[in-house]
Amino acid sequence: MDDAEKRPQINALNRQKIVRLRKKIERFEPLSQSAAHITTGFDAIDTYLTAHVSGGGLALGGVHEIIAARTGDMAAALGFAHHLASRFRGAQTALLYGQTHAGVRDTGQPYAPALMSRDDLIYLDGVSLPELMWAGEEALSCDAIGCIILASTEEAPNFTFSRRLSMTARSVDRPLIMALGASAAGTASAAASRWQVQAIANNGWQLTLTRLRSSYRQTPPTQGWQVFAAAPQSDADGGAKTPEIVAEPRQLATN
Amino acid sequence: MTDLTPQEPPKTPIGDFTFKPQATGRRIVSLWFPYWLVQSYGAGFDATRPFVLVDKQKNTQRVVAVTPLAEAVGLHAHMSLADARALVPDLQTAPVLWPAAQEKLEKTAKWLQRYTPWVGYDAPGDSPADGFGLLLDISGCAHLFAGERAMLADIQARFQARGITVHAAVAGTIGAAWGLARFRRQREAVILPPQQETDAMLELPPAALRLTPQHLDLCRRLGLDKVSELAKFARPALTRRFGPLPVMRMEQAFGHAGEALSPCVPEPEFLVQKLLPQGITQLPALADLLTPLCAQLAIKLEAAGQGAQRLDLVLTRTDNAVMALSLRLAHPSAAPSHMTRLFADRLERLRSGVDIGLGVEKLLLVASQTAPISPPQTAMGLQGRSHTPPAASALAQLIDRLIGRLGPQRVVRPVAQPSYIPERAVDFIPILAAAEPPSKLAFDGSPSIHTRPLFMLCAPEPIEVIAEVPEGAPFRFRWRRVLHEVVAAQGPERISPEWWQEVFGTKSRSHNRQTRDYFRIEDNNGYRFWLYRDGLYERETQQPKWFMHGVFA
Repeated sequence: MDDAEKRPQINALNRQKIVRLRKKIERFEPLSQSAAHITTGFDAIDTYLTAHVSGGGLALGGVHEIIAARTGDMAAALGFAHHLASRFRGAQTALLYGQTHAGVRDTGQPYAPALMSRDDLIYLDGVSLPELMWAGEEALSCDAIGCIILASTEEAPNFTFSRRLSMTARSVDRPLIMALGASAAGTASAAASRWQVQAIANNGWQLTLTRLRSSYRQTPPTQGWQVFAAAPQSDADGGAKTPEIVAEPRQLATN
Repeated sequence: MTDLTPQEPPKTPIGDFTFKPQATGRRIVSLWFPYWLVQSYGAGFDATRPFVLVDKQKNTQRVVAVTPLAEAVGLHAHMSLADARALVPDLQTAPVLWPAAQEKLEKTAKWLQRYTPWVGYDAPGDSPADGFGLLLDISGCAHLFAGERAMLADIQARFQARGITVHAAVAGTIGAAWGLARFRRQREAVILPPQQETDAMLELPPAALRLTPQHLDLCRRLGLDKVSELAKFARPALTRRFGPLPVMRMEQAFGHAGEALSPCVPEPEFLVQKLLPQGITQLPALADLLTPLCAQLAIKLEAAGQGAQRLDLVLTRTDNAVMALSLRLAHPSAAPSHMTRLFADRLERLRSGVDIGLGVEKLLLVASQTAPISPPQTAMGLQGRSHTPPAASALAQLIDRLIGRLGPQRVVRPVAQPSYIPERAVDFIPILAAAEPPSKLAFDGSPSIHTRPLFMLCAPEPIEVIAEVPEGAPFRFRWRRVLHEVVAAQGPERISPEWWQEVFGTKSRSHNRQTRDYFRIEDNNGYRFWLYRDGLYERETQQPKWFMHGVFA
């Protein structure tokens, strides 16, 4: 959001300069080792990513930030984080999922059967943010880990942490997803992508892509989609037909 | 054939053995278990009838061990099974299990270390079919058990209680003890006073000298049926006739030649230590010292095919205060780099909290718990890419590092519990405690798979319901001081308390007394909650309370 607001102030000359510098940086710091990219599973989003990202999807080796739009949206943000994680990780790899103290207090511990039925979940139960960052970096360098989700509700890691994790993720080609509280929206970060998630009526998410690195051109304009779970929740007819949250969406509407 | 003993001219007609008493200063116990094979066999036979163990030797079934009862009816080892059956038609037989008997002997040897640390097996070559034996060097130990007589009585009583026949003898040399245990057949232990080995041995048959069957055969043919007769010969004559063994055995038994008792191999100790010339006060320097220490330990572990499961680092300060750091590993490991790294993490964590005083002057690193590991697989086939990726050990190493820094209680994995009460259905167990990764959780296939939230609050939080219909979902409620308008609701899903807890009086939590009606709620902001009404209206309670229990993504 803030990027979009600042953009008009950058004049054409500076823009050229930025593009040149970006190219230069890309030369000695390739965006990803293998340039492997993963689709999100939502057609409209994937089409958009194909148009804007050289690999056509989200970079496998990178940090992806998912930010709750409002204070209450942390669960939705984590839901999307777990959805992305299920796209990212292979069959034989483990998921490391760490939550800060405040996160545990706020949303509680993971419970969804869809998540828990995986027998390769390592859960870090209530640690501090520096410890969480350390654990993330350790896990990135472990071959047995397929994806890492770090959740911090109250404070976002500073740019140094974010950059450090990004570099590591890129060098080992392993994804790390940061789920952050609403206060993290304006912070600086080196993440490959940044999403904002808001829970909307009828069991849906409003997904907003606020930042995307590794694009052909410069940062693309903020783009939003609405995603809904397989069956709308409104029909109150007992447990059997209720939707699975971390499942594929049925319909997708671009706004 | 070479002579082991120097050639000396014969001095006396009774050979050149000196029969002067020889003080050895040692006290050796020899234990002989004449029926070890059958008595350690177990209870798989009828003890009131003859029982023999047979082994296939040179294409015939041969009896290798007999019970005392079978011996009484004329059966003995080395006879063929056919002969034995001719004597006793309804003979009980079983194939002999050498490894099992040996294993039990090893266990017994270990147990006997309660009497002395120095327990050894009979020298190899002594025919095992003649029973099994153990040797104990009890020099300086007997007084702890109120003397040799009491000690041997204790040993014998303990074996007798187990139904194992044992003959015991104490003497100053291994040879004398061995011979006396076997050939001075008596119920009580033979206790030979010091320096009487020679006299005692001269009375025994040549077999007491631990000779080979060939030697004994020759003795029989020559009509030598006592050690004293053998000793009459001059050494060169004996050696010419028999080879060096009988001379050596006699010298050993009389105490003129030394004989070492090789103790059964003790448990390998994985311990390395470093003494420093002066106290080290810098923790980083300590971490550096750990690198070679871990490497040394790793060599010991690898040589034994073991991996450390628990490591203890003991630091001794210059003022003799002792600090210990201990690490548990998720997966047995003998990788020095991994160990070093774990300790470095731990030391870094300690940096503020540890009082190193005037410095550490001694480091002791022990692998106090180990488990066998398969030797590290060297890369084969594709360069740098083995066929079985070391993912499991990589994960174990990561878990170790996480535990090392965050503590074992923080690194957990979900384990399904046998309960349908939502908060008890899953428990987070420290990964170290959950030995095996759980197989699929019980959620699979259960109808509730879609109706459970992504997150469950650590404890149900009471909510203030402002408007509701008596049996239905609330219209409006307040949770964490925020008012939520309900736009959609789904439910109830009724979850009854576990009635058996009531019956067996094992109920623990108070808020689980009543039936719960769970609802999935979506509010006007799109937030989705999982909440329940505690207690059935008018049946269990007049004023049912509402609780928030989870949030959906």
